[in-house]
Amino acid sequence: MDCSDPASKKAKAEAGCAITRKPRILLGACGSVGAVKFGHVCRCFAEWAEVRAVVTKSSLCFIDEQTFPKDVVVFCDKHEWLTWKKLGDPVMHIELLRWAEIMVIAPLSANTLGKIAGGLCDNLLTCIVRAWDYSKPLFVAPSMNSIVWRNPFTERHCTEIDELGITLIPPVTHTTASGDFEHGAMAEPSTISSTVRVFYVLKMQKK
Amino acid sequence: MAGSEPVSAEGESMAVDAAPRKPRILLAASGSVAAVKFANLCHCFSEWADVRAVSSSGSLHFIDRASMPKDVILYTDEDEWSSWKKLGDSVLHIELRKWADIMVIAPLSANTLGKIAGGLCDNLLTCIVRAWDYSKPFFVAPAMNTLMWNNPFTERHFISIDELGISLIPPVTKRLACGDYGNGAMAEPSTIYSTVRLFYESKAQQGRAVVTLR
Repeated sequence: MDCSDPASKKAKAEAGCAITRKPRILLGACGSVGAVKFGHVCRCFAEWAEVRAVVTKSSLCFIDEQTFPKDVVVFCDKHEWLTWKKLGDPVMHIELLRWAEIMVIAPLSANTLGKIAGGLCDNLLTCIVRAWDYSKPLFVAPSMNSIVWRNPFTERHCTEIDELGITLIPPVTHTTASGDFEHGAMAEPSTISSTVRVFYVLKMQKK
Repeated sequence: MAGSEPVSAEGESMAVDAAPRKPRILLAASGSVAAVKFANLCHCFSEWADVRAVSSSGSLHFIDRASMPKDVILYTDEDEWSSWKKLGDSVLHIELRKWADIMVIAPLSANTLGKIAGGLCDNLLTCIVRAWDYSKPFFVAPAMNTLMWNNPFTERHFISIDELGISLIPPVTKRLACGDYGNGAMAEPSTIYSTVRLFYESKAQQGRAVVTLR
């Protein structure tokens, strides 16, 4: 059985050393202009955490892979079934979910927000979210045009994800890539990193 | 109208020959590892019913087409618009919906469950569901890993589809309990087949009883 295999035993052993080990953070990026900063987001987190990254197909339009830290492994949809050939083989979204202690989606697009709010799971990133264990923290930093942000669905979807237990790192008043000067731009990478880090440190102190 | 004549004729023949005709079962698979058992499921039903099959693009990764029964046509998304050239031509998901007496989705993935619950219809399978006539029976056998099963959305979505009139063939809980996320959840093909057949035959008896009373 999978639950008794060596990987599980190793995971349990490592869990015992949680305080002295770097936290494992899974970063996700969606198809939004804010994804141009994803490499920077990864660098901010890599300074204090062990990082793996998951990107959607649409986000690849904006992400410059050359800006990624060298020690960050990036997963995309094509990796989902690379490891699966027959029954019993590992499934990527489950493996990543088990590995991660914290998940941060930055940027979160309007499309992925809608999918998460509706429980859809049609790619690697949304499959991880759909299976997420909410005893572990999940943060999202939305990024969308201000007109999209003001659409009634946004508030409805944000309410849905809040009820799930997802923590929102709000967008900022900024000049977006499309020229609007209003709410909608993703929070700064340094803000996202420090928000999550403070949360993590406080959580560790409680243990 | 010319377009409605064939359908009417077919309907009439169905009414006259309802008892001796094989039931028409539309089997569908969505993108879950349990789809490796879809061919076996088609074999089970083929022994008793006239079967057509639909697969989502995600399920094709797991279905071994070579092991499908030879008399079962497997439709995929690319077939959806192959018969349509101009207004008035037939649309595949509507034709399949008309043809089928019963629909069974096995395995039903978490993603397709979410789509059905939300009324989304972005592929052949979900278009058929969206158009389904709920005076005809509709069964789903979900399959997802334990972690997805435990997510609050699962219960919420099941409530939605139950309200639609979809019957649930529950997953095998002992496999879920041990955390096996590979294939475990879906009920056995033989269980799915016997559940649907028992339902169909009990309904057929009710139908005959009504006729007798008249």
